[in-house]
Order: sequence, then C-alpha cells, then structure tokens
Amino acid sequence: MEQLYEKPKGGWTMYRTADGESIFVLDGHVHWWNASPDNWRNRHGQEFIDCFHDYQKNLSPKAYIWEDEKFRQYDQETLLHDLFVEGYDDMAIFQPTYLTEFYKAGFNTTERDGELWRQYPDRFLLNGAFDPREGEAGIEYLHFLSEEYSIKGVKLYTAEWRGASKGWDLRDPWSLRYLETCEKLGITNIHIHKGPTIKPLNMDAFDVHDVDEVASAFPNLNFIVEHVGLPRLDDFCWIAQQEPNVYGGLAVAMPFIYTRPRYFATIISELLFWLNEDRLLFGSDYAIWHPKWLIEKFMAFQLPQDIADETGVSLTLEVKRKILGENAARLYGIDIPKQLEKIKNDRFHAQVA
Amino acid sequence: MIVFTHRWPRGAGYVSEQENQVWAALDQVLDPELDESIVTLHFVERVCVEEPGSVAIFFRLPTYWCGANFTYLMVEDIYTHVRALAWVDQVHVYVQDHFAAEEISTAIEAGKNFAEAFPDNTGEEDVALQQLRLGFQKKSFLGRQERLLRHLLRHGWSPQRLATLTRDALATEVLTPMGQRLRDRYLALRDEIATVGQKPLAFVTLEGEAIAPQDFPHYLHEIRRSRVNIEFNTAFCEGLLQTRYGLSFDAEQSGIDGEKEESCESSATGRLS
Repeated sequence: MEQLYEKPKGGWTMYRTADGESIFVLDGHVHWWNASPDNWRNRHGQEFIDCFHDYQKNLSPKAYIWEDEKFRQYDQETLLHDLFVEGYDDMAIFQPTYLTEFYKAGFNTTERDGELWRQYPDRFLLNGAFDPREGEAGIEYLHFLSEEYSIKGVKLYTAEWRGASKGWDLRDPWSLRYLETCEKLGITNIHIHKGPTIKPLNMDAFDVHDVDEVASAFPNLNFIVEHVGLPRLDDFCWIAQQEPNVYGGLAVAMPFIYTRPRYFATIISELLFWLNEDRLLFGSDYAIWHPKWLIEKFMAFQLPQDIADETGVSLTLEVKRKILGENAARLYGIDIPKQLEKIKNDRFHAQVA
Repeated sequence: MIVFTHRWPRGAGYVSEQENQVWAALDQVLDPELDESIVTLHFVERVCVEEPGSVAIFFRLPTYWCGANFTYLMVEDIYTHVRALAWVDQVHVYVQDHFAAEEISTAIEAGKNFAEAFPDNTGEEDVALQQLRLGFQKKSFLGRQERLLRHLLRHGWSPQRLATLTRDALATEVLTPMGQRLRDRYLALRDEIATVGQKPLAFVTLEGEAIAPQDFPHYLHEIRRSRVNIEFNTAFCEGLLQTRYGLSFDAEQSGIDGEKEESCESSATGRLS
C-alpha cells in the first residue's frame, strides 16, 4: 500500500502530538486473561478477578468501565482493537500470571498469550514466568520457553501460592540458579511483581528488599519492579537509587492521573528524583486499565510548579517519550524506526487511517 | 484526651453512651500501613452493644486479599482496646469478606497468637509479627515527621530553629489547628519508639541522631518517600473500599495543609512542559 501522506517525523506511530511529533508506545504490561467462572478452581478465582475489577472501577473514567462478563473474559479482537487501534500502543508486552491454584487452566499464561503473539509477532513481545520451587523441572521449562517463544523476559510473582509454600525470595538458592540460567539464555529482563498472598504470612508479602541483592549479584540483568514497588514505594526508591539495573514499571501508579492528578504528580516526580527518566516504563496493565485514556492524559500532563520546584525534575516531551516507549525498546532490543516500518501497513494501521 | 474529630457513622435513632465509648476505643486502633484510625478509614462498618457487656464489631477491608498479618494486628488491637472498657466482658470481631476472616476472629477470641492461628506457618514465631509492627511504626514515624516539618517550614520556620528545637518546646508551641494535629500525632508516635523517644531534641532521625541545619533539605528528601508512600497507599485503599462497598465519603486524609487536587492538564494546544 502506497503511503499517500508525508511520513511524519519519527515514523508512523499510533500516537502523535498536536504538533505532529510521533511517540512510539511500547506498553510494558498487558494481559489476555481467562477468568470466566468455568475456569475458577475455587472461590479465590472469583475473588481475584473481582478485586482486579474493583481496580478498574475505582480509577477509570466511567466510559471505560466494563460489565462483569466482559471483564472476566474478553476475546482477542477486543484486546487487539483496544491496544492497537484505539489505545495508541505500537507494541505490547504480555506479562504472564499463572495462578494455577485459583484457575484450572491458569489466568494469563505464556501459552495462552502465545496464541496472539504468534499471530502478530511484530506487535507483541511475549514473556515467560518461572517458579524456582519447581526445581530442576522448572529449569528445563525455562529452556523450553526460550526456544519456543524466544522470550527475552520473565515475570516473577514471589508471593504466589504453591501448595504449602509461603512464597519465595529472589535470594533463595534455586532462584539464583534460575537467574543464572536466564543470563545464559539471554533472558535479560526480570519483571518482579510483589503482590498479596493468601498464605497468612507474618512477613510482609510486598517487601522488595530481596531485589537489592540480586540486582547487585546480576549486573547484566535488568530488574523491573512492577507498579514501582507500591505499596512499598519508599523502599523501592531507596533500592533503585543505588542499583543502576533496577527499573520501575508504572502500572497502578499511572491511573491516578485521572482521579488524583496531584498524587500522580508527586509520585512521578519522586520517581524521577530517585531514579531517572531512563528507568521508568509505561504499562497499562490492560485490561484493568485502557491505554487510550492513560496515554492521552499522560501526554497532556504537566507537573504543578511547586512539585517540580521541590524535586527539581521536569516532565518534558523527551522524558515522556522515554517512559512511553524508548526505555522499554532499549531493554528489549527494539529498533524503533525499523519496527515502525514493519508494522506501518498492517491491519491495525489500516483500521485507523 | 480523646479529640472527637468526626461523628461516628450511625443509623437513625439513639446512640448509646456505651456505643460512643466503643467507637472512641476503636478510634485508637490504627492500620499499621496507612497510619490512620480504622474509624477514619471507614473500616468499621457497625458496632452493636447487645446483651450487657457484649460487644460485636463488624470490620471490613478494601480487598479480600488484604494481608492476614496486618488484619490480624488490627483485629488484635480492636480486641485489646474494646475489652479494656470497664463494662465489657465479651468482644466479637466479625471480619467480613476476607480470605482469613474466620481464622483470625476465632484465634483472637481464643487468645491465640498469629503463629497459633495459622499452624501451617511451621517454625515461625510470633516475634516476627511484632517486628513487622515495629517496622511499620518506623515508617509511620517518618511520615508524621515529614508532614510536621513541611508544615513548619511553610510557616516560616528556619532549619536552624528546627534543628535546635527541644521536644518539650515543640509540645507547647502555639500552632495552627492543622499544625497542632500534626504535632500531636508526631509526638504521640515519637514517644513510643525507643531509639527516639528519650532524646531531648524534637527532630531526630530514627537512630536518634540530631539533624544539622544544613542537612535538613537532604533529610527532608529522604523522608518524603515515606510520606508519599503512605499517602498513595491510603488513597488507593480508600478508593477500593468505596468501590467495593458502594460508599461515598470525602477522604479525611488530604494533602499537606489541606491542599486540594489541582488540574494538571496543559492547554489544548498540546504544548508540554
């Protein structure tokens, strides 16, 4: 298909500013889950997805709030349309979440996400997951993921329930073996999700301190702490300040841009202060939140002067560009102009034009 | 002295003096992570004084998944504070819509500690839970200290003055109503932390060290993280609670000095800062 228009500066991205500047968007965190009732293994399956839905209902503009049925299971056309036609994403990273103790076939597995990745390999990056409690068998599985899906990253859920286990720590001996294996296989991006656990721990399931040691021990790996370690943002900032290979994923923090913009301003300026503009990554956490409104509001966002003065940071167009796509592209080895050339004529562009 | 800063949630009709006393006792119970009263946070749905000496408290949380450890601490504190009322013989705390509801309520009534409540945790001691509590007390301390320091700086206090102020002088200082609230909260927690409480200076680090006037800007940057973290968590949790239970209330927790949320959008030309 011939391009009838002059190519915009920066390439054919989904999002362009009012002045015509292209902004490449690499959504760092999306899901294609199946949380329908027939996939629930037990009550926890229902409670988990209902909690996700509360996140959506609480923080999204009204027009983006879904009915239960759709939220529990949406089809692939919905996902593709929301991310690549409406949502301004040029690419997106599937971050798997297994939760096999809650869902019979898993929640949002690499295998399931892989179906979409295979169909649109220029649009999606697919990550794997590992659980070091699986021992040697898990190491083999990691090799399989690497060969089958060319994974360059994994998402780890340290508080995940498994049998009688209370969750695990990145510093555990098996975890270190897995991280060594990742390094060997070229799986360089380690996304860490600290979350609630239903095992009644007396320790803090959200504690991020284990990241500190492994980041030092593995300087060639990148450790992306999802939702910037919230609700332990203070500890995350302390760790990230010291470890240059620690990054922050902005899912959960960014939705505040709509309901509590001043809190969002405080958080983003705090993060820019303790880390820097090169180590923050946009993620929608779709389908909890929709990238369309997140990106629109982020692009329009300005730091209130008093907050900017306090931290001395600024949220320029360049900084936003890095957060929305350039930083993730660097971590995942994406050549932005080349990638945009690959996708400029695909079905999603045709739908937008 | 208990300051009644808000009206207890109540239905139509007469609220007894006994119920008032229960609410006042509950107001002493803090969420360890959010450093705020469970009454202010609207975690207490209802209080029932039924038979003489018997009190039922209906407790709720923002999510089904809220940590069993923190939930346990709050329920334990509820039990302790309400049981302390002279006329109370029995306390029943009903934790609603939570994965460990029954274990927690039953265990606390039976006087079991966390490890006994959850025997799956083999090898864990209750000491760990108390350490958790202390760890969050320290975070709360920094949050309260930061808010007070910012308030005073905004009201013209110099770092020099802050660095040399004694605890006793702070206690009697004339402040605005907001300043008084921030001061009283700060001192209440300050006195509970061993490394800090004994020190003569008003403002010291968690290790009990003085802060030189020239170090104040840097120190404030450090502790701002703690305050921002608590603030965000509170906003997030309160929002979820309202969504979950169909509530609508103005969050008591506001920004420093009651700042309002501002619009942070640029004008329509798309010019960006």
